[in-house]
Amino acid sequence: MTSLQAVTIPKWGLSMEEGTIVSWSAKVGQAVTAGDELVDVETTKITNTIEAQGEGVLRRILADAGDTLPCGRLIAVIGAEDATDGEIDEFVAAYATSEAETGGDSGGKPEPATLDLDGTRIRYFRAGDSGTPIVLIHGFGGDLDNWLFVQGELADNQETIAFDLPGHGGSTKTVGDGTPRALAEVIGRALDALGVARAHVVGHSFGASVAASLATLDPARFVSVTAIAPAGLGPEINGEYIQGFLNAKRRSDLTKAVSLLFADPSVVTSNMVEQLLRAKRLDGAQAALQTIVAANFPGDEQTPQQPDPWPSLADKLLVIWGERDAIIPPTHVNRLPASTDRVTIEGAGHMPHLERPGDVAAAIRDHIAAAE
Amino acid sequence: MSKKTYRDALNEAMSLEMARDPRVVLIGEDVAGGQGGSGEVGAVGGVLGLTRDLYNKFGISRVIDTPITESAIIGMAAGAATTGLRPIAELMFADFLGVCFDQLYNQAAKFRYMFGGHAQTPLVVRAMIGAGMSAAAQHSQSPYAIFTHVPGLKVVMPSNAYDAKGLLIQAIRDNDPVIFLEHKMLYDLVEDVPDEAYAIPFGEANFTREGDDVTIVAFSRMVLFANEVADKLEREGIACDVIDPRTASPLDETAILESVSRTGRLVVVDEANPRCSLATDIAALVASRGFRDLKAPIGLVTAPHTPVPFSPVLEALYIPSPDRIEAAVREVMA
Repeated sequence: MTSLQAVTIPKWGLSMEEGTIVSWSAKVGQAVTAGDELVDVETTKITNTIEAQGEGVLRRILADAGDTLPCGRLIAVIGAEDATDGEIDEFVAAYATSEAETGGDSGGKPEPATLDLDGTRIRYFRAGDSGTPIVLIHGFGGDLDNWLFVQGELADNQETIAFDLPGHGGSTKTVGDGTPRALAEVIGRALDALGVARAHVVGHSFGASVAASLATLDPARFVSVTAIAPAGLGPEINGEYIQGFLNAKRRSDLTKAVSLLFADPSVVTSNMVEQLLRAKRLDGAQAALQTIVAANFPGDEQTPQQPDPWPSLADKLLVIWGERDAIIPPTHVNRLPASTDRVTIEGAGHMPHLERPGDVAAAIRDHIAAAE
Repeated sequence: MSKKTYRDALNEAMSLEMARDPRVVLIGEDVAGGQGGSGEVGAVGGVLGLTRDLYNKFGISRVIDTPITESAIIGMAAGAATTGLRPIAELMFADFLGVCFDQLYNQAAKFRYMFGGHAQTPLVVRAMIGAGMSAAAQHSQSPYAIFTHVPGLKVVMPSNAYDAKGLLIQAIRDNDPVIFLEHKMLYDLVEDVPDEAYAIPFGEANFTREGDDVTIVAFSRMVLFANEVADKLEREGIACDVIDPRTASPLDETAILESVSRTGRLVVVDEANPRCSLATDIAALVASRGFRDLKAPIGLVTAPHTPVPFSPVLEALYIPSPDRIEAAVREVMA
């Protein structure tokens, strides 16, 4: 029998259960090679492209644009030109049977948990179970789901804990004075409660400022620090984004703001925007965001952290930046010592961990391995 | 975040607001549940179970059972609102609002205006609308246009569990009388609903589907039908914007006009009778302020100008169906 390859709805992240077909870029009968774009699939976060894994002819498409299907579901078959239709029918039938027998790729969606720190509620998502934990801290206006694509990859080898910062996601909406230090203290207490004595910390944007503060407050605890598009290195920041995100009450306004985050704005899904809008509507969320903006990005400029945490971190720091970041200029990395490890992610904007998760996870893994 | 029914989302909204604000009280027939009958007081919570357990949580001074007298319920609630309480009056069927129309139309709606802004009436009237249960002509109507017509009243119609909770919290926090209309066919809808409190501002439409070919404006249960049609037509390459205004008063005119300026085509779906209705109101809005954008006559899908039939067969013909919505979309696309 000729070898046939299955194209399935991928599981891009731990909490991904299903994907929606946006559009096919390849047609039945078309010859494809590894890396060719086949189909765009929409997730709860962004739209991503499935590429061909090998060489062959796209023989059959089993799902139409608009279909929402569980992870693991067969959506196309790639095979040699001389494979008979009968062989393909058999392959498809066998696939359907095995899915029915195993109940698909479900196994139950892992859910985030919450900690109660004397009335302060912190939501977190733990995945993976070996080695020194990797702590993941999202940026302004985000939540732990921002790590959707990266956390799964990292958790294959190592324990990971993604937090919702105070004021965000499912965490408490009180943020103190809104400085990175105030939030870092809460995350520090959360790590105490979880019994994490040693960790790597990865922060994005404003979350990188929090990570830096966290690592300075307790230098012995953190083996390495990874800052993705960090805030707090220089004065410039895109005020149109900050104010746009803060003030958006409607989906259209929020879509405009959020599009600035990505090198390719077409990855923004209406579901992503709806989830952000829902987070902003929670009691206290808007006030928390306002406090953070006032403390960190008033008048479209960044307020430097006092004391500056970055110099003391130079030895254990990796900076990752999307080359097309439109929120914080990638040139801010030059304010750090020339010896600081740095990785530029091509084709990514301010959200490389969503736009190029594979590259970001690889950079984090390398940095952590070197630090250990 | 967890899965909740529309019914439980409404119960949670009342429970959270009653816990947050001691001025919030609940008034209605059998809202405590079980009094005077067998079983535990508070166990049932109204004929529909909407107020289950609230009596146990907040006690008899805040969960007040009334006689079967709608005029007393609304009169008491409107009066209580002017004294500083924030009553939620449960009226069961919106069809019965006629019995207490003066209290709403000529009293509660006018207080702020007639007392020069010095009085406020933070009153929520919850009631059920809609056909579909063969409950006949006096228990199946959707009389929202009547209240939308009255300045001083706000009119809210959630189409899903998430909106139900956020809109009811907003209604309770609002300082004006709010007519909050729950569709009786939606109580068992299940959706992701956050456990925390959140408020959805009035006058902010929800785009439940997005597309550039045709705008469908629908309310309450009709949003589900419009979504179904949009999903079907999407496969044929017809992309629909489905707009759920969420509130009939205030109405998000901007969202409707913006959408029609992109699509040039409008279908309005309204479960109510067709004359002087939300359907004609929105058609008039677009005809007067978006006419130059229109590429086709506006399509209206409504009930006929008759009472709601008791016969299940006739009732099915009465309610705007996905088939009729689809036909209307195809007509404006032709």
